[in-house]
Amino acid sequence: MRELRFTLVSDGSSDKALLPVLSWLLETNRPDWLIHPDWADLRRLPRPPRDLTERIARAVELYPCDLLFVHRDAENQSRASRVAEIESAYAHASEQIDAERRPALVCAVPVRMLEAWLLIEEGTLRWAAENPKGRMAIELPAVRVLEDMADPKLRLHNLLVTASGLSGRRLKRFNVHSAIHRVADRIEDYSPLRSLPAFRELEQELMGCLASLE
Amino acid sequence: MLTRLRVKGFKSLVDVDVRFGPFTCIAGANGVGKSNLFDAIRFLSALADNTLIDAAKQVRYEGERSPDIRSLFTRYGERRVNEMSFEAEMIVPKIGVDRLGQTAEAKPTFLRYRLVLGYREDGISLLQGGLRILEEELTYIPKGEAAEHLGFPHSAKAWRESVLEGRRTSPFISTSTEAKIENGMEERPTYINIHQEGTGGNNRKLLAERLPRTVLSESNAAESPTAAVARFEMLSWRLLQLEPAALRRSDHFTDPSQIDLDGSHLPHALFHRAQEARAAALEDEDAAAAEARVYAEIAGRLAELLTDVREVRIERDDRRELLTLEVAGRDGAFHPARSLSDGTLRFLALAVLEASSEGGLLCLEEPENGIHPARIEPMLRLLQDIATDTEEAVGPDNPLRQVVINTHSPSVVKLVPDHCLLVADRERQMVSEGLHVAGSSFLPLEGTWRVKGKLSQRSVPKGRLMAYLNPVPLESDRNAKTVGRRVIDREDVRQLLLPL
Repeated sequence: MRELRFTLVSDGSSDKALLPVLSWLLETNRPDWLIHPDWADLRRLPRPPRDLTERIARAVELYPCDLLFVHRDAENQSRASRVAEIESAYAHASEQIDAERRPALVCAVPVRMLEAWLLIEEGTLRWAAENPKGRMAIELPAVRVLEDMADPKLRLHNLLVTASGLSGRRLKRFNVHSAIHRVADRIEDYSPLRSLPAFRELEQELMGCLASLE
Repeated sequence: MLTRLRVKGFKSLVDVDVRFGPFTCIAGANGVGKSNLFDAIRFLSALADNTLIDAAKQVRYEGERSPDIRSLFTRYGERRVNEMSFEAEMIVPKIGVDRLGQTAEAKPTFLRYRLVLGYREDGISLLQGGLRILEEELTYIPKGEAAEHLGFPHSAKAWRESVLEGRRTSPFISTSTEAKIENGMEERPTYINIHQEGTGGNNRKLLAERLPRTVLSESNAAESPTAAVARFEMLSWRLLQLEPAALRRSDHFTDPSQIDLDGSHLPHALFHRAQEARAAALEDEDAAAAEARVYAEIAGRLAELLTDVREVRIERDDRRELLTLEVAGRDGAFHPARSLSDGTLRFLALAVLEASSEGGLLCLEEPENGIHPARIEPMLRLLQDIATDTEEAVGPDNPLRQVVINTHSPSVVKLVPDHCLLVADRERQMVSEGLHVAGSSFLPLEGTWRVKGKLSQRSVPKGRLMAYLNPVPLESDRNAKTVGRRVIDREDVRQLLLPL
């Protein structure tokens, strides 16, 4: 039995939804380890860092971990250049971190829009939309097209709004943002995503990291 | 004084090991289990006086109305564990008085009490609500080893020497099993043994299965003085839940003179304290002066909270035989204390407690409630003054007493001494091989005594403190809904914020 702490550094708080996905991947691959996740909340720092190197250095200082995940939206760049950017930032940040506190490895997360990965369970969507017994049609895209979608974030947003069955003022008060977090939290089984390339790639990279940690 | 508490299998305390000093502050979000730690302390205290089933009923249930004792055990999925264990290290007073007025002397005074309770739905156990004793043990920590168990800052020469005493060579209560053949079958019943202290009396051996209460709860001064003192110590572990209605009541002359858990008897407690001071007046100070001093000190404390307090007194109504607490402001007119606010009354009750010389462990939830942010410091100072001063020897002016609070307040977290803070959170913990559940953790700050040396506990990631240090992020998240200009967004307000 061992314990593994990981910290996720991301651009925005909506990416926090990646935390349950990463926990699931770790727990499924190492069922007898105790996994402790943390999302690096840097917003409350007196001078929130902007630059990626600075953010990585502060994240490791404030949320010490064995494994560091860095997520960046890869909207306009190729995956390769994003990975290179993260690895370079990490290398520079490492200079600011004591050797014994450096996380064992960095996994660069190659996902385009993580919301695509949350479109797998109809029941969960209905619960997150606070309308669990709603019967309006909500059509989830087929799993195989999830990673090719143009705007999965918008799709998820619209599905949640539809599932909520709200309109007018009540719809105004519906917090889609927190509903998205609830979706990520409630999904217990991400295995349907294993048929998708980006997800598979993430899992492979993670397993490689774990193997070298042992 | 409780110096260490290990709990397993009790509610969300899956596997917890907390060390306490004279003053401890536990900060944590709602639902992480801060109150469960208080419940564990209360449960142990209740077990020192009641049957297993009655003690269990006194503890909070998970929102269920009818007492389902099973729900006290840690849950995993749909099921629950079958055992819960408690281990408490404590420094007990040297002398105690039992219910028959007999004095007992504890030798030694640094003790360890261990109790393991099991749950079984059969025969005898069900009569006890399903609880049964699996192990009970009272032993001691030798003086020579005491230092490594007392990691909090203290004066070895003055304080430690004054509280640690005595020597012993065998345990007071222990557990054993014996193989027996009964009806042709081999059994291993468990026995709890009471070891004689001193020269009179024999060791006693009790079948654990039949015990409806702990052995400790039956200790008396004559047969087991040290165990009896341990028992009194545990009985003094209380959760103070000061209620405005109780705090506002006047007292009848015959009411108890000690502040109750809900705050009742505040007037009589203060009156009693003042009378005690009269009686104990030193030769060079007259009785009236000693009495006046008691009231003036309370007024002084209260003045730190409310600017307009000059005097405090107890008004005696001889006709109706009532005692009422009264306060006067700058204008000199006395009015009953019940006209004060809830928060102020709670502060007043604590001030009266501080003036008394009773020992014990006081647990208090969210003392910041009803207190203006700028006045949190006097409240914290009062709480720390209630606790024993570990730089001085213990005595009537420095009772062996400790305080544990829990809080949500950023101000409290910022202002308590760093070595007193524990941050409560939920984390994955192991129930058994391969079985993980979310349990409560209590982590100290980096570089404080719980992290150092032999104690070497894990420290809290600094990032988790930020919600307390900077509860209001200045930069609004690009994803957050905009609600229009908030107070914090105004330029003129930003200029007033502490520069960083």
